[in-house]
Amino acid sequence: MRGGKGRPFLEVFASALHEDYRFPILEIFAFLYALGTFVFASFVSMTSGSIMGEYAAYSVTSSLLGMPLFIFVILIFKNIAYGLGGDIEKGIIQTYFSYPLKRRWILSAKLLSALGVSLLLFLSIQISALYVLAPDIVAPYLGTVILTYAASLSFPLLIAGIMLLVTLVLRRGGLALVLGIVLFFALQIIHSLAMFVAYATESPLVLQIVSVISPNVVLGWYYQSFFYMGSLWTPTFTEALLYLGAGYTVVASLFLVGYLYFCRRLGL
Amino acid sequence: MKRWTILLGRGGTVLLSIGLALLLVSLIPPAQRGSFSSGSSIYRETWRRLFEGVQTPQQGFRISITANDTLNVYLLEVSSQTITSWISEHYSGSINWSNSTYFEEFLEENPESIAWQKDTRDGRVEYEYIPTKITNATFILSNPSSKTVTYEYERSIIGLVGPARKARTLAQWIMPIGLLLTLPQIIDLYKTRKKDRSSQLVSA
Repeated sequence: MRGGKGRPFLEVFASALHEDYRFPILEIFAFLYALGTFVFASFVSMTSGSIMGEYAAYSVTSSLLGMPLFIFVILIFKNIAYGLGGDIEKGIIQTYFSYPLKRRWILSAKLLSALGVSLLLFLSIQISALYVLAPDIVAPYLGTVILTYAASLSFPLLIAGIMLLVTLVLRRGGLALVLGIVLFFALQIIHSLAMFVAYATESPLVLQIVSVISPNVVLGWYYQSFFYMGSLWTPTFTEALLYLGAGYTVVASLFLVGYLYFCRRLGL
Repeated sequence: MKRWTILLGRGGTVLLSIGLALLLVSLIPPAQRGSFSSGSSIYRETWRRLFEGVQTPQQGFRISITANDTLNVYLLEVSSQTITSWISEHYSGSINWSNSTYFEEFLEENPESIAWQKDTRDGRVEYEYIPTKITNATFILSNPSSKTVTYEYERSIIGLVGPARKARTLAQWIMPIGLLLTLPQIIDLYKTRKKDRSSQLVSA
């Protein structure tokens, strides 16, 4: 993107922002993120004993992610399904195609608004809240905090990628939104089932498979191994990073397919 | 309306809503989660750990102590093991760990570990402790007098949504900034409406 292409890109981006975050959507979500972060934060793991360090950072960050992550998922699902899906359905996307801008930049502008702004708001509120709640954990273990966020966000982004594809293929947002929510809950159930199966078979294979789509599982087992030696699965830190890399490779592949479809196959 | 005005305005309203959430967090009163009471005696010139544990910005305690004579009450932001380690480092041989002289020397050397201190000269002491960060807190009684003192205490755990004072301070900073950022947009909106009204009057 050089010279004159910047302005059309900003036009599409501004239009997407206007559509995705009509007053007071952004304000309501910011309020819910901030409130949810404080209400759901839990220091239980630390009050039971003098457990500090990496595990404490992981534990507190994970507790903060519960409900606010679900709120974040709702926002990005809405933005992709209704923002992009609505534009395709109503034909607004054809107006964007008339701009002197390649299709990939149009999709980038839409995704930057749908995902980027939501992610920025979510992370800035969460990390600021962490600094307020536990400054002595965030500062020395920032790496662990970032790793926990990266692992936890992989799964919602994976579903967002699937939703993007479904929205583009069906050219309708409503169905993609339903599918996204169903997938989100279905995979939550699969997480729980995988745990039972792993214990029943005494094999971590199922957990390893689930970790590819949800690296938070491997990270949880890695930090758990600090205390429960000889448990079902004791992954190393490198293994945890590999699963995280694999998870984001799957996410990136889905978005790449989405880009390719939008640029080459979306016959509008 | 200029785009930067809208952008600033939205940033301001987002800050206002975050500030409101923080204000709400700070207004939720602490909840008492359970209480425990006990009593005992403390020999002359000794110190005793009453209790210790990890306290968080979401969990503190409220304590009240009554004694039949003067006791020094301390809340230290270190574990009792830190105190005993310090004593063993500085004094070798067979020593009486609970001697209040050693404890007082520890305090003189580590005054930063004292979060709060008071004596029971008036017969009763009350204190509420909610740390601003995750802290290993130890509550200690020291009897520097030459006679045994009997005491009773009641401790209750209090739970909070978040550190109320910090949240309120943050809200007090965030909300005016938010309002300031929203101001240009509000002025713009007011001007536009005024212009619209006057043009409607002219056309009527």
